Amino acid sequence: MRDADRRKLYSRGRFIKKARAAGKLTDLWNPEKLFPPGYEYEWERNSVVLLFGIGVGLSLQFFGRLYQAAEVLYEYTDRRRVLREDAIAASFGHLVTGHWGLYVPLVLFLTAMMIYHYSYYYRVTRSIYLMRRLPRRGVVFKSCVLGPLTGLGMAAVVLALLYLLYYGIYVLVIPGECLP
Amino acid sequence: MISFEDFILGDDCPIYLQIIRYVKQGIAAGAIGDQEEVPSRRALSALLGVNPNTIQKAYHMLEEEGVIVSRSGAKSYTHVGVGTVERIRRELLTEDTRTWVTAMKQLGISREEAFVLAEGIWRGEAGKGRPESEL
Amino acid sequence: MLEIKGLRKIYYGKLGGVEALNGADLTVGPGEIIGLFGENGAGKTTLLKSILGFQSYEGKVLLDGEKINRGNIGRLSFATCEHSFFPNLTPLSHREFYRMHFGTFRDKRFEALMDFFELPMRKVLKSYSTGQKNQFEVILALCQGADYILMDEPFAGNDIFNREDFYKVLLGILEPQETIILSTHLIEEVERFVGRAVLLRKGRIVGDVTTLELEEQGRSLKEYIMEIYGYRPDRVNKALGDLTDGGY
Repeated sequence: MRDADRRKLYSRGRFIKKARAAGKLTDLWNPEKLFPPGYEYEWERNSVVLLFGIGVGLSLQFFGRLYQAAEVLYEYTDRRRVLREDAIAASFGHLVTGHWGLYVPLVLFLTAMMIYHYSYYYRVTRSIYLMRRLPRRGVVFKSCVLGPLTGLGMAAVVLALLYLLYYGIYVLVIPGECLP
Repeated sequence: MISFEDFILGDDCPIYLQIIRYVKQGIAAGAIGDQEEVPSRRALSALLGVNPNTIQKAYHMLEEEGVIVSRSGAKSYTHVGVGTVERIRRELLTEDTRTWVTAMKQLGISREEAFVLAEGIWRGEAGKGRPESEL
Repeated sequence: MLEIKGLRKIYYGKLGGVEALNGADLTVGPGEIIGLFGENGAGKTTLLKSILGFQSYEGKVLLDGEKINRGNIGRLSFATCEHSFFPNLTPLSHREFYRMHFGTFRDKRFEALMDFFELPMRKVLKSYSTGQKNQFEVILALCQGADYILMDEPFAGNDIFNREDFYKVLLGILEPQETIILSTHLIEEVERFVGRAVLLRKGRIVGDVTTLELEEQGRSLKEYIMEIYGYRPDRVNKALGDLTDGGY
């Protein structure tokens, strides 16, 4: 083989190797791996986003409560706003009580989806017969559970950041001496 | 290689016997000669749509009669030596005649009647030149 | 060697227990082509599903002396009239899936069979006709690289394609160690294809004969089956007699 050809083959081989490695990484981001094979997950993902959005939207009441909590700290004398003595603001927790409830529909939905995913293997065809013959362990379980779990995980992360943000705003708005 | 392209399977007789007969007829008619390659068990099985065990039985019996010879692991070939053609011809003729005689006896006609019948038909063939298959 | 010993399966329903299988014993060697016959409810499907471990059962199923486990389950494949493929995926995706899970997938055979039956590689399975779906289901079972290929009435349904060709192709491509167990109602059709016939009746194996034996005895498979089932040919005449006696 001529040297030029040999070099071409070698570089092509390395390219193929790189492409394969890149492919493996993108698998992690590939939602298809989180659901049963061929499952149309788009509507589920959109529903999750919607439920999450509704929850977050409703959580904006926080700002209303924060405003009220802040207002209560002041009194008006001579048309000027003055901080009342010994005024303590409501705690942050107090302002966000009940927010857990906003996300319950989301959690319930995702749990129900795990079961719905299992029923997918019985719909139209009985692909369960293929799945139960696979040498690898836990394929069925993982395919039913990973999608919703990822959704829950991402929701948890975003909510954590969101409430961190809320807390940050709380601290900014409430004067230091009034913090409980 | 022996061709089985025009071999049609019937329902009346075990398949392995039909295969044996087909090979023997080929030899008797001169269509199959000496040292002709015999299709592999798998190939013939696929061609005819017949289970390989049946093919195996047919080949085994042909081997026992010395009509085909297989080298270990390799292909099988026909072994049509001097006098083999004639011997097989005789065999087939005897077989067919026996079948005919049995049929005649079952129908209950006498030997003489049977021969008269046979001769009439034989003559009819020769005279009008009709191919046997039209009977 | 696939050994089935004393296989029993009871389904519990509203009317109490139904013995779908009542002590089935069967030994299947490598390279055999076996036809599994029996009336509906005789236990054919239960037998196959038990072998594959889809349900609990009493008795033993051993593959080369070992119980069926994750290590050897890849040596069994399955084609069913209910279809076990993914309707939303294409044949190409199925190939990837099989390659990923079964290291023994037969690529060349897959391409050859898809080509022979003119099945499109890039159309989703749900857009296939019933006949094509049946073909694809069988192709997957044949290309998994299994040693024992179990098929449960794979050609049921509205089929148009030429099954004769299919049997011929199978006979041509099967390797000596590949075994087929085919459960079917199409007795005459598979008579030449199979080498052994196993009859099930009310959960028991009532017949087990090689087709060579039948040939030597001058019996057709259908005759054998009817005999074992105690079928009385005069039934029809008697019924007609009873029906027409009254003059109606």
